[in-house]
Amino acid sequence: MNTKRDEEVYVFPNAPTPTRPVIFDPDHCNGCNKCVSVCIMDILLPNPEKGKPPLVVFPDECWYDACCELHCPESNAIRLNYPLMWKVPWKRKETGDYHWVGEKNPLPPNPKPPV
Amino acid sequence: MNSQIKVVPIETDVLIIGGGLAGCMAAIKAREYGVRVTIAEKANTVSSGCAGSGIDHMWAYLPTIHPEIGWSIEDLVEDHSEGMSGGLVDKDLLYFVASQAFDRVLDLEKFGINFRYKDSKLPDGFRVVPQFHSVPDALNFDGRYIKKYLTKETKKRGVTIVNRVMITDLLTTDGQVSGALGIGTRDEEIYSFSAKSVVFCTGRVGRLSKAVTGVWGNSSSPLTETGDGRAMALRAGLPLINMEFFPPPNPFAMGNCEVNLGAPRNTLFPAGSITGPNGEVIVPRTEFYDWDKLGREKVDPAETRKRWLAERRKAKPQYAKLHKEGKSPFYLDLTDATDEEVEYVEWSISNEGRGYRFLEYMKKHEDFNFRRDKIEFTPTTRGMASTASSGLMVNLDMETGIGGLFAAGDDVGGVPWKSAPGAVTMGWRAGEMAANRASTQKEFLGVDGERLEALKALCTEMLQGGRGHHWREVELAVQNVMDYYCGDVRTGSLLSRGIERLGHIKAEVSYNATNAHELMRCMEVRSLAENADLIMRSSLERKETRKLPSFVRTDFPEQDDLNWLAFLSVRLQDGRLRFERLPIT
Ligand SMILES: Cc1cc2nc3c(=O)[nH]c(=O)nc-3n(C[C@H](O)[C@H](O)[C@H](O)COP(=O)(O)OP(=O)(O)OC[C@H]3O[C@@H](n4cnc5c(N)ncnc54)[C@H](O)[C@@H]3O)c2cc1C
Ligand code: SF4
Ligand code: SF4
Repeated sequence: MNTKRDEEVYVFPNAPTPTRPVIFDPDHCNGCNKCVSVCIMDILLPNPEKGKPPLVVFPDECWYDACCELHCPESNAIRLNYPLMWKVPWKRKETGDYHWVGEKNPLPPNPKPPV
Repeated sequence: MNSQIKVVPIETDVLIIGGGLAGCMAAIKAREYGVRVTIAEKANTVSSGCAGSGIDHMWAYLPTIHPEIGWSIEDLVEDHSEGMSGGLVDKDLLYFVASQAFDRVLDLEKFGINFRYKDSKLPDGFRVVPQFHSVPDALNFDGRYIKKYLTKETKKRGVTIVNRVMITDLLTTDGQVSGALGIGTRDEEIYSFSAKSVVFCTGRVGRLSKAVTGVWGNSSSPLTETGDGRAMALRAGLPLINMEFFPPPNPFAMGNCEVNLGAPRNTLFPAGSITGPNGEVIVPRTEFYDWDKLGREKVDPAETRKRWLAERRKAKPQYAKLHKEGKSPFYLDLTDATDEEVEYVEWSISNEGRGYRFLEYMKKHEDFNFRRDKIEFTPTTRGMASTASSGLMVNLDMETGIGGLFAAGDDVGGVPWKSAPGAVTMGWRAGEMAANRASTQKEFLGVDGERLEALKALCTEMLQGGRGHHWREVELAVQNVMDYYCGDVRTGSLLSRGIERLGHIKAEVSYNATNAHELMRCMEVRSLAENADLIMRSSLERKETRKLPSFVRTDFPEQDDLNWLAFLSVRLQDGRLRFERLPIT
């Protein structure tokens, strides 16, 4: 693939979604790029470094459909990172308490400095 | 500068545009006739379209079960017509889907998809849930990887799949199809298809309404579906029907969470109910036909239908209204279910779009348990999809008004909620008819050079747009117009103003794409703007309010069956839109 997309680096607005809608675990990902091939929104690119996890190039276009994950040959190599206002809450019947996605397992802070 | 864009020519007998459920079925069938078949797919057929991350149920008339209880295909058609579309339906087409769906299920089984279960008490080992009709008739199946199986079958049969190509132009010569043009979404190349028959299978129209959470992905239909088929059909002079049935924003539409977790009558059957803040039941769980009676007791279809319609009307949750009355928040509630029932529901969810990983994650890492925890409902975004009564007009051979052009699935109007059964039956027939037509057609009509140059010029312009608009800015502008001027309040004056404003936006826009990916998005937004225009103009034309499929004209609050129990068709003729009322007979 020799497109401008590979060569250009630019900044675009990306407010309401995580900078990483999917998170790769380099220890489990084998770099096969199957997820790049099936991604329905086409937001991933193969890593220029062979064997490394793909790059997320259009993070705010993710549909969170998990096709990337469903077709990944490895387990725990890729995982969806739902947007903050999407962390589904539930109410426990007996206690009436609320709980939510990420409560027990908060995601690691975003290492990227704000643009 | 134009010459920089490379053109990839592809010749095929049958070209299928969109490799979703309908497209894959069309391709598989067409290959039985020995013709060359090509699918042009915007994404990747393995995962694309509504069924991309799985579907779990499919309604069909079941010849080994339904006659036993005295329920006929005509009864199914009547149920669907009354319950799903208030009589505004193409009954012949609906009958076609109802009568063919089971045969297609048997085909899907041959392609490797499992429909039978050891623990089933029904004949043939099926699992059947209620969904849309007065008698349960939706088969459950292991559909998580349905697109993978279909892709495998198309390849086995020698279909050529061209992934990552978005078709933008239908080519015709003297009222006959000659092919189509598209753009490579990864390679900035133009794909020029020369074909004897073409089948439109591009699916739904999403992305016409601003996502309520601000997250673009907060939509129940795939974001790849932007009404490209409808836009191309319009430009080719074909009539489109029922474009006005674009539902008003209902923040609690369909009872879906952000991830498709289905509704009490389908995926959440048998245990799902919807409850309010203090556990008060808003949508009860669905009762099941007692299959133990099968063969011993008949139903009285007319009576069952009457009861079911009454229940439906009562149970139809008016979330927005209840919300205004202070009766929210709402919960998806399975806390009264047995372990067995929860297991069944979780199995269904794990086979239908987007819910699987989500649920798995919640259970594994967050200590979530359906028997203890009620999921809170949060708003979703509206989409054309939810009624799907709009689209192209076809006859029972899936032919459109252009020689050699066929259409199938959600691209076709006139049968709301035809869903997966609609896609597989219509796709199959379209494939057969397209292949037949290609076999009898001696010559290729050739690719229209002028149109090719025009597309090149358009792409070049977008790619060199410099300070032009980013697609997202245009999309937001279109969505804002739709949400205000064509939302839950629609009046003549609002709609006219909306049409004007959209016109200004369209006139001012110059798209700017910096790569092939953005070029695709720009082309998609162009389709969206065309669909938006049609929706507003058709809404302006329909001067009534209709319960089913739901349509509200604030200035014409009554349902007017005398004049408007009719499809509304719109077509482009001599540069002008022409409307026609097609009464349901
Ligand atoms: C999450 C979800 C769950 C569902 N579950 C069920 C269920 O359990 N049971 C049921 O009966 N129905 C279900 N449905 C509905 C059903 O899946 C659809 O009605 C059916 O898939 C429609 O088939 P189709 O081929 O018309 O469109 P799709 O299957 O959506 O395919 C359309 C294809 O066209 C491609 N495309 C679009 N534009 C272009 C273009 N310009 N060029 C090239 N390709 C293009 C798309 O990428 C896509 O692959 C569900 C829908 C969704 C969204
Ligand atoms: S499919 Fe899985 S293993 Fe392959 S590159 Fe993607 S995340 Fe890594
Ligand atoms: S969830 Fe869907 S859109 Fe997002 S990266 Fe995965 S396949 Fe692509």
